[in-house]
Amino acid sequence: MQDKLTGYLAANFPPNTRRAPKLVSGPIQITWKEWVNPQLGQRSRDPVEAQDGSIWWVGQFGNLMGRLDPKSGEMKEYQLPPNAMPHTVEIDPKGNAWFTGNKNGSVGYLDPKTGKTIVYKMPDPNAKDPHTLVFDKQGIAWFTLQNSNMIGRLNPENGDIKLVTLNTPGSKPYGIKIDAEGNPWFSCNGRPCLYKVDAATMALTEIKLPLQGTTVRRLDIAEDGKIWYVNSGMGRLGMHDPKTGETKEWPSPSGPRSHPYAIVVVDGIVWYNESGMRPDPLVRFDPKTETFQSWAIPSGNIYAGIIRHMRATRDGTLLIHQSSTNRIMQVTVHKRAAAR
Amino acid sequence: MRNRSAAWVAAAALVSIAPFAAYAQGQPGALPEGEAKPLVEGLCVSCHRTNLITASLGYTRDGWKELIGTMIDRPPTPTCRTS
Repeated sequence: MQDKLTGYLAANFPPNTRRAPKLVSGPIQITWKEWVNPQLGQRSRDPVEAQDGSIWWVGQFGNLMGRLDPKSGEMKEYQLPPNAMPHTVEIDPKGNAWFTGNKNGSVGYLDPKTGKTIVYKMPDPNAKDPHTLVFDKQGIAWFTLQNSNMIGRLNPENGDIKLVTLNTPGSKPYGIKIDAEGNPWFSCNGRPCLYKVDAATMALTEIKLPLQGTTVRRLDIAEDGKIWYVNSGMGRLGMHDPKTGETKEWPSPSGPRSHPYAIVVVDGIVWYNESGMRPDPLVRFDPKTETFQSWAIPSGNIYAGIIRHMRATRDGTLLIHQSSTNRIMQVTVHKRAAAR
Repeated sequence: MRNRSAAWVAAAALVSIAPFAAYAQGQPGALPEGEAKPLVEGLCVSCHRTNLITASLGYTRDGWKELIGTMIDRPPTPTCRTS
């Protein structure tokens, strides 16, 4: 049966270049390290480093959360409450691993010491899909609810949840990050906008992005306060400077259909991926020189993509994943050799 | 959650019972006709859409084998790797 199946697939869907990326060569060297997660078909995603150096991920399709010891390679997977279908994992200041129950309207956490899971249901039945979550310095959890068109705030001390619905339907709040002043920013996957949230009042301030057709999966905030975002809808990389109000965009190397998705800024360098391409490229952008470099992300012996969220470790490596093939990966960026 | 360890067995059963109303019907990315089309519909499309196949990078036989191996256990002796 296997031969019949693979024969059919290879005959009808042989290697093609329909969505081939434009890879950009350059001087930066990187190395990949990957871990294949135990449960098959789980669609691993969103790896993040905990304070103890362990790496957590979620298997959205496998309804699980996992912990990896990167030194030993040991992995342990924890089944989550029914139909949670976790969209992301984030670590709180106490080391608890929080997940968003994207299909059962919940946010919860797992205490690694006890293995016990605590779940908070959304207080509003319209709040159906907690999505991406991040903690501020006070330990407050902020999260988006894409299709519910809301953002939320959860106080882990008492479980209190506050929700705010955006005034414009279909904005689709997606990625979320906290700025240096402690205010959350989130991106719109439904229309051309970013939002700043007043952490004290949850009042929203919209930043309209310049190009119609813009949709933004994710954003990150650089040390200088600039907001870097992926213009997923138009295949561009963008920057908004809250201090000056300036917004600037650059076409991504693989063009309008490249669908940039995940993004992280490390030491002033912007990293993102072009998820519309096959292979899925990891792209590096240097804001000082406004130059790109990119690499095809391997997935074992094949290329099957894609990255949906990426974050950095404390020592500046990138944590990425390839959800199609149950892999979480670490990218080490090698310093350039000193000029002779 | 579907137990993918038994997916091959389930797919074989589905294929042998009848041409079933595929989950894939009406989805973008139609599968071409072929002897193994019902197998793809039973095995692959029970978990994900056809467009993940039709819009893929495309692979050799060994490549498809490796990719499928990240999703389900393969015969001849499927073993449970799900928790």
